[in-house]
Amino acid sequence: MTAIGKVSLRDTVFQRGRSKERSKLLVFNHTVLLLLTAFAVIPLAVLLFNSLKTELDIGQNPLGPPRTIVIENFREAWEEGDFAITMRNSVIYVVATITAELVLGGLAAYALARKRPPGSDLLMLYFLVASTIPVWMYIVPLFVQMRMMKMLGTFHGLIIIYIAGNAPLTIFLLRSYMIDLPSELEDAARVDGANEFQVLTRIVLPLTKPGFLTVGLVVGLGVWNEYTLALTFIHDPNRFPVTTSFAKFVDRFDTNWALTSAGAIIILFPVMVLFLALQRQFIEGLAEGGIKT
Amino acid sequence: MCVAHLNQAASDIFAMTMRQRIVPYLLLLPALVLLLVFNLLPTIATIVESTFVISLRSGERVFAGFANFERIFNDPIFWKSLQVTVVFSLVVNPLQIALSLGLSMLMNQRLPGIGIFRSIYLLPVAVSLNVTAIVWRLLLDKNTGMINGILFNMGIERQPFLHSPDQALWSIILIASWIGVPLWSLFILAGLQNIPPPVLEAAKIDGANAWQSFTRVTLPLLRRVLAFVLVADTVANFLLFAPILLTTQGGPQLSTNLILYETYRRGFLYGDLGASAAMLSVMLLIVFVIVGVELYVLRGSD
Repeated sequence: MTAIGKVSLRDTVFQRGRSKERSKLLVFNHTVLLLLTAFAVIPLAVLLFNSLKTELDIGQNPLGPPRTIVIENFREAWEEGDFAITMRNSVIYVVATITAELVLGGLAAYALARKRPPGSDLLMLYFLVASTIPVWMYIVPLFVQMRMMKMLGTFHGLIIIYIAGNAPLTIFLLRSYMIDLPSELEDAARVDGANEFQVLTRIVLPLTKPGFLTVGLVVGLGVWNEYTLALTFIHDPNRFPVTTSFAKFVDRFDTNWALTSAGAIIILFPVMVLFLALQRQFIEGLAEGGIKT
Repeated sequence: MCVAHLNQAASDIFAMTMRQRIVPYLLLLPALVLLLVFNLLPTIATIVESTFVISLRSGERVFAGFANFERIFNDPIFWKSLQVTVVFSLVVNPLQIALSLGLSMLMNQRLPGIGIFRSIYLLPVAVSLNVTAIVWRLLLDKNTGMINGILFNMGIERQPFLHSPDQALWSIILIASWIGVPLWSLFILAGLQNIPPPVLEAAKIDGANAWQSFTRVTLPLLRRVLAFVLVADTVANFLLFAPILLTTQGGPQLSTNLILYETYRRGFLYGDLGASAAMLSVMLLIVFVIVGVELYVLRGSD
């Protein structure tokens, strides 16, 4: 199935003649692409350069690459920001949230996409509306409520808030991936004697993997980069996420751009690597999904 | 005996349909309970809170009806903030959606090295809004910023950007789009990859030019993705917060005081939670209206 899709894609490229007009278009396209990537990369490059400079070097030479490379910034930022602790905590928040979110969201989305119980349309509207509600809308009452439930300052408390906050978007997106699947495949499995659970785990889940990957990526990035809720609901430094480490530099070392930049790079590095690694799989997955219609 | 058999069969069928009816709700239950307790209830609590004030005489929380709403509706700062938000939205949304659509189509082409371009182009999506705001504050600095360095080398005067009432909002638009455009492209790109190439081939064989195949084939097939992107984009920009907090804090002269920042300023900096709750309620209502109108305009058969 996959192979056919790929071959036909490649064929269409070969069939196209390479006329003069096309090569002109290629030059134009590549120019735009270069400008775009420059726009995307320059802020990140400046951050990287500054993280490798001394404060003095940044003052005299804020734009260019470092004159002498100072690795020391990273060691200092790592210690000042307590990254050993916050990094571990953020991994816990992200992994726990994604796992629970995909399970709960997946079940809900499956029910909405496939079973369509009465009231589905109303629920979809609710999820869409709920996904637009900003944290400031409910943060004060939620604080009071969390205190009453004795979940203030706990890992599971913050994780539950993250799961609930991301659930509407997760369900909304997962449902739209599932609803595109041809139901014949599921019916065929049922005829062959598969029960509902097997239909879900053997047919629906493998086919919607790119959807789960995308949603997992979006939710994971959101949690890794979240700051407001973490600051409100966590008070023990041993439970702080990485964003609080970064905020520390911005607040306390406002003038020290070298440390601030190094802190930013430390936060960005793991997500960038993960994002680049998963992106390939994600786009390949999408390309495979492309023939399913 | 025959009747008993039938009865048995009937109750079996009944049990089966009951189960089939209940199962979907059981699947939905965990997510709905979490949403109800940790999202919907506190949101409603804020709306209720908007009808209370802290009495100056007794310090107690007393019911005040629409007093908070009257207060904010008579407040020029609130109206100014709404006006800034509308101007911002009218510029940033069409800009981001047009750019995301155009650039996703560019990124979806089979060009040499396109994979690398795509990876780099999408990279800002992974960067947090906090870090983004800080980096752009550096880049847009009047004396040491890179943008002004480039302008200066081109013989253009140094610009104040975030420190000028005329330029700050445009600078915020730039910052928001640095993440926004690749983010929405991610979704549109996914939609484009889902269009089977034979469909576009067929259009070509039928004599459609590039514009026709874009408007007649690509756009209709992207409708659901675009509807989602449009709604999500307008809401995200309407509720933009972190970059304001970390760069201009609403200034200079309230020129970047977007509505969500104003509710934060009023409630959490000035401690006027009643007015803040009233503003949040009004804001939520506006968001619902926007989403409703967009969904109505984009409504389709499914």
